[in-house]
Amino acid sequence: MNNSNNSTKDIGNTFSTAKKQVLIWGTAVGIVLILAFISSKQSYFIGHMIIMTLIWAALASAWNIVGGIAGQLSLGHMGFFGIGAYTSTILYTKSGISPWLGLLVGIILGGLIGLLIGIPTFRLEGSYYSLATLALGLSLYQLSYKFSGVTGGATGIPIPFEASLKNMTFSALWQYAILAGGYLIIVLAICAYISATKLGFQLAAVREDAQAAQAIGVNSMRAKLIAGTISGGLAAGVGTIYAQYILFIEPHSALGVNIAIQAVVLSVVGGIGYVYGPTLGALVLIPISQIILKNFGGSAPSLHILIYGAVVILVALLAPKGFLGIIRQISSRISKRSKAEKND
Amino acid sequence: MTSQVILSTSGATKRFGGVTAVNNVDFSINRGEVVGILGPNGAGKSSFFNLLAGAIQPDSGTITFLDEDVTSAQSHDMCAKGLARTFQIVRPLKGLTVLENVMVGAFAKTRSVREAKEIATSAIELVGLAGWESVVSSNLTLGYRKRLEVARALATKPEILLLDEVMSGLNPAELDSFIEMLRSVNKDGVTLIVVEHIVSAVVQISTRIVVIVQGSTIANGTPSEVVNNKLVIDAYLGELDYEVS
Amino acid sequence: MGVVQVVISGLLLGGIYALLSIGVTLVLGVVKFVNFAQGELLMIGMYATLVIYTGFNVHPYLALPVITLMMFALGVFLHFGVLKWSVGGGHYTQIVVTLGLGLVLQSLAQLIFGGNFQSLGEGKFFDSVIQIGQIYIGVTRLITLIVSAIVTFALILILDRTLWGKAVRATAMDTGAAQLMGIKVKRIYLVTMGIGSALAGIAGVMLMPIYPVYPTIGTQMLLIGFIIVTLGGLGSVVGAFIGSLIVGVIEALAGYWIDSAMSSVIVYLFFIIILLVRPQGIMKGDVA
Repeated sequence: MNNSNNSTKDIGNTFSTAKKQVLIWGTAVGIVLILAFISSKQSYFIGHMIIMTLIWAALASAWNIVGGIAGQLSLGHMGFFGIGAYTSTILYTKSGISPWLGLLVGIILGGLIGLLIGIPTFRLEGSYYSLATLALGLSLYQLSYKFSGVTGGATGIPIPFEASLKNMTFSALWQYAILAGGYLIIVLAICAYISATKLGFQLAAVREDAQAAQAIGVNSMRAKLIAGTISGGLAAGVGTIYAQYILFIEPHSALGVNIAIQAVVLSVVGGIGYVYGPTLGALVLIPISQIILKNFGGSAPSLHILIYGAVVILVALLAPKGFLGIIRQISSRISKRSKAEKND
Repeated sequence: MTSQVILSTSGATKRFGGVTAVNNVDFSINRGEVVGILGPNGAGKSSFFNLLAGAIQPDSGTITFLDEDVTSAQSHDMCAKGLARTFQIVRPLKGLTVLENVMVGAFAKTRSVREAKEIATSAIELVGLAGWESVVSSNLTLGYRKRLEVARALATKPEILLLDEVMSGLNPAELDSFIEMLRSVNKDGVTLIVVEHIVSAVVQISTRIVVIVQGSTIANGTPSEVVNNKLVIDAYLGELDYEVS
Repeated sequence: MGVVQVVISGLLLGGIYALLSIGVTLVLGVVKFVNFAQGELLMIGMYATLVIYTGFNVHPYLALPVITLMMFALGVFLHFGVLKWSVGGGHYTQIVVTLGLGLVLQSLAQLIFGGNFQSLGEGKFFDSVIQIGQIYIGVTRLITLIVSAIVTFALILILDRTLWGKAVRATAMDTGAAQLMGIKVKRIYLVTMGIGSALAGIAGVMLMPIYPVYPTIGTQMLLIGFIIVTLGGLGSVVGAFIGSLIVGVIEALAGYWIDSAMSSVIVYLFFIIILLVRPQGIMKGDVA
C-alpha cells in the first residue's frame, strides 16, 4: 500500500493484555539478571561496560520523555543528572543521610527544576526550550565551581566506601548492575505507561502539530509541563546511582555538557520517541565508546565523540526514526509479505 | 424531533477596524437541524462562524449555547461545552494513524484509553473510514483527510458541529459521498452548521439556509425558499438553475 | 571611575560577540536555519589563525582575508554537503544535525590540536593598551569593536542598497514569493550559509589575540550568540549588533559587581527574563 505506515507514536501494546505485560516485564527483569550474572563472572571492564550502558540508557530514556515523546529538545539534562548526583552525595557525606532518601530528594528537586524551566519556555517555539535548558545546565555547571564550599568545587566530593544496602554501596559489580538495571526498568515502565495512556496521545498530538492539538482540546502547556517534570525527576535519579557507583563526583563528570549531548545522541540513534529507542541506542553506542576509551583514551580522547557526531548526523538525515524505526519497518514489511504469501 | 434552540445569537456584531464584518445578526439553530450558511467571499460568514466557535468574541450582542451565555467563551471552552469545529485547511496529525488521530479528540472528554478507543472507532465508522484505522494519516488523500477531521471533531462528543468550508477541493464523486456521510452524522444526533461556497452541496444537505451578505442576513429559510428569493439571486446567485429535492 | 571602565570593557566585549551573533541572525532570518555548530566555526577560525601565526608567522589581521575566504568556502561546503538536507526539516532536526556536526568538528580539533588552552603567546602588540584619561582600552579589543562595527555597517548597506541584498531580504520575508519572482533561493541559502561561516571566521581571527582557544570553546559562545539574537530580534542585523553591546555590558557589570565566575550565569538569567518579558526581542521586522 504505502512505503511507511509506521506511526510515530509508540502505542506499545504493552497494556493490551495482562499476559503480554507479564511476559515483557519478566523478560526485562530476566535480561537484567543475566547482565548482572555476566558482570559478576567477567572482567572488571565488561562489568563496568554493562553498568555504564544501563546507567546511560536510563538517563537517555528519562530524557526521551520530554525530548522524544513530548518533542521538546532539552539540552540541559546534565543539569538534572548533576542535581541528583550532588544532592544525594552532599546529604550522604555531610549529614549521613541514606542515598536512598537522597535519591528521592534529588528526584523531587529535579522534577521541580524541570517544571520551572518549562514555564517560561514551553509557550515559545521549540528552539527556545533547547537554549534555555542549555543555559540552565551550563549555569549549574559554573555554580558548582563557585559554591565549592558545598560542592567541593573542582576537587569534587569522594564518597566513602562502606558497602551495605542501606548505603547504596556495593562490593560486587553485579549488585550495581541490578541497581542500575532496576532503575532502568522503572524508567522504561513509566515511559511505556505514559506512551500508552492519555498523556502519551496528547503529547504525540502536540509534537505533531501543536495548534491543531489545541483545537481538539489538548492543553499543550499542561502536557509538556508534566513531561518536563517527570523527565527531570527521573534524570536526577540516574545521577544518584552514578555517584554511588563511581564513588566520586566532580563538575565535569556530573555536570558536563557531554552528558546532555550523549542523552540526545543515544535517543536519536536508537529511535527518538519510542519507549525502547534510547535503550537500543545505548546498547549500540556505549559499548563502542567504552572500548574506544579503553584503547585510545590516552592518544585520542575524543574519538568516541567523533563517532557520536557522525552517527547522529547520518541517522537524523537518513533514518530519522532511528535504529528501532528501521527494525520496525523491516518487520512490518516481512509480516506484510508473509500475509500476502498466505493469501496466494 | 423536539424543536429546541441549542445555539443562538442576538444582535451579534463584530468590527475589524473600520469594517463591520458581522452586523447585528440574529440567528438560531434547533437541535437536529442542518443549517447551511452561504454568502459571497468577504461577506462576513467566516467571521460569523468564528464568533459561533468562540475563536473571536463579539463587540456587542450575545451568544447563547444550551441556555448558557457563552458570549465571552473561547474555543477550548466551547469544545468542553459541546461545540466542535473543523478547519478550512485540514490539519491531520501527520505521523499518527487514523485511530490515534481520532483518539486524541476522544481524550477531550475521557481519561480511559479503552473508552477513547471505543468512541474513536464509532466516530471513524460514522464518517465512513472504517478499515483505515491503522493507516498513518499522512498517507490519506484529501477527501479522506477531511473525513478524518470530521471524525476527530465527532470524537469530542459534541452537541453541534461547525464545518468550515469542509467540502472545498473535493471532486464530484467525493462530494456526493461526503454529503451522504454528513447526513448519517446528522441522523446520529449531531446538529450541523455548514459554512460553504458550494451552493449545490449546501442546498442538498441543509434543512435550512441562512445567507449572509455584507455582514447581514438577507435570507433565512428552506433551500427552495432561499434559492428562489429575489434578494439572494440579485446579491449572490445570479441566474439560477437549482433543483431542490 | 570603576564602573565607566567596566562599561567600556563591556562594550568592547560586545564587539567580539557581535561578529558571531550577526552570523547566527543572518542564517536564522534568511535560511530559517538554526545552526548549533556556529560556535565550532568560530573555533575553527581561531585555530586557523593560530596555525597561520605560529606556522607561517603571519599576523592575524593580515591573515584575515585569507581566513575569511576559507571559512566562506567551508560554510558553503558544509551546507552543500550536509546541512541543506535539513533546511526544510524543522528546527528540531536542524539542531540535532548541527549538534552532531559540532561534535565532529570539536573532536577533530581535539585530535589535531589536543585539549589544552592555546594562545598566540606574548607579544607587544597583543598586550598593548591605550589610555584615555582613567580608562584603559586594550588595542586588540578596540580593533575588534571597530571591525565588527564596519562589518555590521557594510552588511546593512549591502542588504539595503544592492540588488543582491534585496533578493536576500525578499527570501527572508517570503521564500515562495521570492522564488516566483525568479530569485534563485537555493543559491541565496548557499551564499548566506557561507557568509554566516565567514563571519564566524572573522570573529575567530579577532578573538584569537584576546582569548585562548580550546576545542570546546564553541558551546558557550554559541549560547551567547543565540541569546544576543533573541534579544536583538531574530533576523535583525542591527538588533544583533546592539544586543551584543548590551550583553557585553551586562556580562562586564555582573563580573564587576558580583563575581567574574558568575558573569555568564547572570547573562543566562537575563536570557530567561527576556523570554518571560519580550521574547520577540527589541528590533522587530525583517532582516537588516
